[in-house]
Amino acid sequence: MKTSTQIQLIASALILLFLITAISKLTDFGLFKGQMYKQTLPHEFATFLIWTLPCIELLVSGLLFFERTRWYGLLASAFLMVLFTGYVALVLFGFFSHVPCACGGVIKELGWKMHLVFNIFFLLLSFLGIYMVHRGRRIVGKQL
Amino acid sequence: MKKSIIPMLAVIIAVGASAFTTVKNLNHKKTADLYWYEVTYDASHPAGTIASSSDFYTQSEKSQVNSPCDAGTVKDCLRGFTSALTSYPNNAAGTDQIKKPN
Repeated sequence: MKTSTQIQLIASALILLFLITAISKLTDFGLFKGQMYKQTLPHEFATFLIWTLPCIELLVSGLLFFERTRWYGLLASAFLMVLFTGYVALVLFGFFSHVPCACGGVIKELGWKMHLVFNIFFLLLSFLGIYMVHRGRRIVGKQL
Repeated sequence: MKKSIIPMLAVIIAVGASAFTTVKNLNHKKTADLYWYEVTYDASHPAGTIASSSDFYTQSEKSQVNSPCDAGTVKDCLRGFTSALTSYPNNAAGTDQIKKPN
């Protein structure tokens, strides 16, 4: 399989992830708000995330969609996944005083442990995409 | 166009999956939406109270509420009201309740 096709598949998997979670938040906004306020976050920060998180996910999906912006989409995806994965890890390792409800969006059936595995998978996928694009650029650079 | 065919398929699948989930949710027999609030128990309120507006959880019909508590029959986890509460703390039992063990 060509490298460009592999990168497209990686980007597509990430688009699928971010688009589904963003749409699920927006189509049931009241529930999403309630779930965010249940998390172990300061109330004001939760309010900020309620309004910005779906927009950021849609933006990252857009960046991943177009070849010209895919590099930035992969970087943004990796950054987001580091944050999400870090939060889940902190919850699981008892950093917070209590475990909030595992009630977030489409992945609510997973529970916190499987959520961590799920996040790590997409984090590694993002890194793989970044590596493949970067390697492709270096090869093209050497050929010029 | 050819270069974006796989990402385009991903977008179509994502929108389709989201639409299917929304249609599935809408197809069940709908009962009234209630405003659900989390119930707090303390020494001053042994029967439970809704302390402030930040205890608002969701507005939904009961069957669609994803309770933050384990299922039970003893105490109220959430209380549902036909309209948003305006005064707090509020000790009313509400129109309906979602229970928890203790």
